[in-house]
Amino acid sequence: MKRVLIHLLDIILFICILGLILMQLSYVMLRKETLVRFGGFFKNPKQYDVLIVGDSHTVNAIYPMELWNSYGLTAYNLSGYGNTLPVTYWITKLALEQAEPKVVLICTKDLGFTQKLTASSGDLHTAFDCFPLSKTKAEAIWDLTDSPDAMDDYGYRFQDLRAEYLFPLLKYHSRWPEINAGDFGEVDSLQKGGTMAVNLAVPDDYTITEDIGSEDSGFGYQYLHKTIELCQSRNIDVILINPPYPAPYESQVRDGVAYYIAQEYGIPYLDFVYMDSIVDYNIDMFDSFSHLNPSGARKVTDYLGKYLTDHYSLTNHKSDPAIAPEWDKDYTAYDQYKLSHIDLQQGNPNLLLMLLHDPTLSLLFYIPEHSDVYHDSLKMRLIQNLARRHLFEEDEGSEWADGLFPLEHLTAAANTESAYFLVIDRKDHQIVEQTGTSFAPVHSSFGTIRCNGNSFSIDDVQQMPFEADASFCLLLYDETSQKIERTICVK
Amino acid sequence: MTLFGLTVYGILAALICRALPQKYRWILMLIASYVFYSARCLSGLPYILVTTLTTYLAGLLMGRVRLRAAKESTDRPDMKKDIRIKCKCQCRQITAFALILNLCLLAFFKYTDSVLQLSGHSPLGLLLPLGISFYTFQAMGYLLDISGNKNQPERNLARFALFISFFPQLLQGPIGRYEPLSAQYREPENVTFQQALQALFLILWGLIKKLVLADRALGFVSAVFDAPAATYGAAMNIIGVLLYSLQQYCDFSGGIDLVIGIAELMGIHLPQNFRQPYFSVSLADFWRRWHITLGAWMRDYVFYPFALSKPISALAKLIRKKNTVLARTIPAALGNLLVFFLVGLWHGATSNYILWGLYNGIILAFSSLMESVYKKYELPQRSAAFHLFRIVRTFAIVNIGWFFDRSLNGSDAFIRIRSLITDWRPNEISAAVLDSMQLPSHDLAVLLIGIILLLFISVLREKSLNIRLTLSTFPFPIRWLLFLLMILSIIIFGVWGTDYNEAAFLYYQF
Repeated sequence: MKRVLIHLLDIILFICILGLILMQLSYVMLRKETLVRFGGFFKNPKQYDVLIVGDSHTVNAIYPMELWNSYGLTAYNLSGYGNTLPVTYWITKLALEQAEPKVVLICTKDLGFTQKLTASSGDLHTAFDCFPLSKTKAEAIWDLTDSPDAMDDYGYRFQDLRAEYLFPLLKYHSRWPEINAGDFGEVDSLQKGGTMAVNLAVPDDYTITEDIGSEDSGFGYQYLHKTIELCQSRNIDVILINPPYPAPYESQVRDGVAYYIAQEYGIPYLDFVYMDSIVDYNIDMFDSFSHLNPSGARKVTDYLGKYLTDHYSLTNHKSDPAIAPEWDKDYTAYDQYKLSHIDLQQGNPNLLLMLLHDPTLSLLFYIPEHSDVYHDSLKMRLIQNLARRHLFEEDEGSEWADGLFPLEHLTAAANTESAYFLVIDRKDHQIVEQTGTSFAPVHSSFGTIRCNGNSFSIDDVQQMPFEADASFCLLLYDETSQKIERTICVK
Repeated sequence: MTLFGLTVYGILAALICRALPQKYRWILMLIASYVFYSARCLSGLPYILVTTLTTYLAGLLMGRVRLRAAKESTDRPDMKKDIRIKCKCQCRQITAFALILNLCLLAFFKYTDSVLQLSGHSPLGLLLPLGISFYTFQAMGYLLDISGNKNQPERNLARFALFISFFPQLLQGPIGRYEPLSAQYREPENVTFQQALQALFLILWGLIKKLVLADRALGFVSAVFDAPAATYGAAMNIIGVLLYSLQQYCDFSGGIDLVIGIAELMGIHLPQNFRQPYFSVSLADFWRRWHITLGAWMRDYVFYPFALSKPISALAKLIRKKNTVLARTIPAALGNLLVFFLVGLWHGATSNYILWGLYNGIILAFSSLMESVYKKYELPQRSAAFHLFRIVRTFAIVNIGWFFDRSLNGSDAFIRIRSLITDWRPNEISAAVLDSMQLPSHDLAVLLIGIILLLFISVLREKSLNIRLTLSTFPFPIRWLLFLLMILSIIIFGVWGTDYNEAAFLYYQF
């Protein structure tokens, strides 16, 4: 008997050690994209007042870190690439097991999608791998893969992949040749789920319609109802949103059913497709048909931040000592991440100009006379966009376009091909434009600025001299770090 | 059911077995075997039942014929000889009937599509019932033993059904004999903790061989051998065939280790099927070490009956008048030719398999004939260098044979073998090419480490060291560390999951 007991203990000890090693191995082998996107959520899920759930459109349209910086809101974007509404429902359910948000924003795009899953098994891994194994997770996987005919991009039946979703090690065990030091350490979720998609695309043609479809029996509708009811059963306010994109007529009609659903539950529906002046599709699209780039996302995020602050009793945590220090620290890291994107695009003037539409960056901007940018309509639009005003709920119905582009002298400078000097001081909300051959000093929140056509100087300290054949030169003053971050000349 | 599925299923069955009284364990094994068979190959169930029933009834019938003959002999001692002849004749008829029936079944599934293709018809796409070769061979062995009066027939149909269907064996053997196995099924050994550890070591080692080594080599082997024969020169063909050697050995012996390990957990000791075959000093030695149970089966049921048959004995008698040495060696040479022709045919009714069989048969026949010549020259057979030379020589002979085995057809094999002499092309080997042929440097590194480990273990086993026994007696921290390393090796380095299609065992198709 004693011997049997020893053997039993022997085996139990071994199984425990093996289990611990496998857990650790599972973490190391995991494709880290899921942690980059969602890992931060699990550190302190109860701190989030706002959760955003939906598909890639919301991933690229709403930046939680900007909601924090501008409104002091604590939000996490749990949207995922390729998430259908059934996936969104289960992600919401899993998230609500840990979090206690006050508001949940649900993306209603592709409401009429007829399948529970898209064919991308990888996206589904990204969405679910970071959630720990639980009964709900198992239910989610079983429910989402209940169709025996559902196949992924590689020809595997989703039903055959169930175990891999529950135990991601089964999927990633073969990643060992790619493993590096980063796979062992903690992964930062710098963007708290929002993701910058950096590109510029010419948008597809579209026409706004007020036609609304009548179909409401597919999986999309069914699971949207379930998600709303799930949130409401926990006294969580729900907002339905349709991120902006040049939607074809059929999509507008199909997704428009969300108006009725919102009415049914007495909740708001923010249809950015209909409110098509919030963003400028000519310069705010990552691709031609759907996703926003950072310039567009910052406009949508700002709109939502104000909307949430105006309509819901959400706390501005900027002065909350329990939350603010950590979030401010995160924002500083996020800010550097944004700057790293700017660095990456120094050889691509259009993308660089697009990224400079950022409410946290003050800017000195100089265009020399006879610059070729004056002949480039896209660049001119992007330069106008540097100071473009954001639109909010109260602007609805007003003559938006009149006040959106405050750079009054840019067109005149282009017409005469004279030099142009612009100061955008975010802190003092000051925009100063000058044209001609000499420029008067500008008093800004970060010093007295001079431009002599060869360089900028701040408080008589000369900055990097302009390059002779530059198309434009600029200096970035970061309001977060409160220092000059970059001086760039673009040829 | 994947390999992991089979392993877990086997361990669970063994645990339940252990909890039952010894005399009832065979019932659980039978149920587990039929559940396994139904899960893996429900459509093949009628065929295994037909083989089980016909073989069982034929055995029973022979038993009755013998009993009646014994009784008649007692009653009529004067007719004893006639009765014995009549009895033998009846037994042969019964055996022939059952054998032909089961062989037809096997041949139907194995060769119908090949024959249809050869005759220009579209194949039927028949799925080979799981384990049909292995259980048919076991059944034939059982019948021939009863017919030769070496065994008594089994009276209990369920027990006999277990002999035919014991689930670990169904995948790829080993081909068991009735006498030693039936006794074990009746009263399986009570597995001790140490024995269980040894069995688990074997299972894990089998999985490493199959998943880490065999399936890792598979991609490159397929890239070489599934391409048109002239695509690559000697350099690539040599790497291809060497990796095929590794793949073949690790796949087959790894699978057998898994099977033997699972059976051992249930208290059943199956016969060994491999004994370091690549350390063989001659081709005959190789075939005594490779697929041992098939070799033994062929020796007992084909080679000896053929070599001792009346026409061959008459031939030997005729030759003896001129040359006594040839009279002894020619029957053996002809026997080898027949055996390996049949082995080739069993592998498949295509020219490459038949040529592979004949290649082995011819070399063995030639070796038999040359044996007397070798003896004339007293070579330093005991020197280590000569021993090593013989091992390398045999390895080369075996690998040339693998060209026939793995090529898509006979002419492909000849083109590849010819390239070894006429078309060297060493520039074809580069990291980029290996990478494009599913053998990137990290996989190559795993293979090389695996080969070194395999070699090390094979040397220890060749020196008759019982590695499993030694490991199981290590202090538990070392023992568990080894287990952990083996499990983690399989998880991390194993080729399994959806990124890869776990390859079926090579011998599964036979």
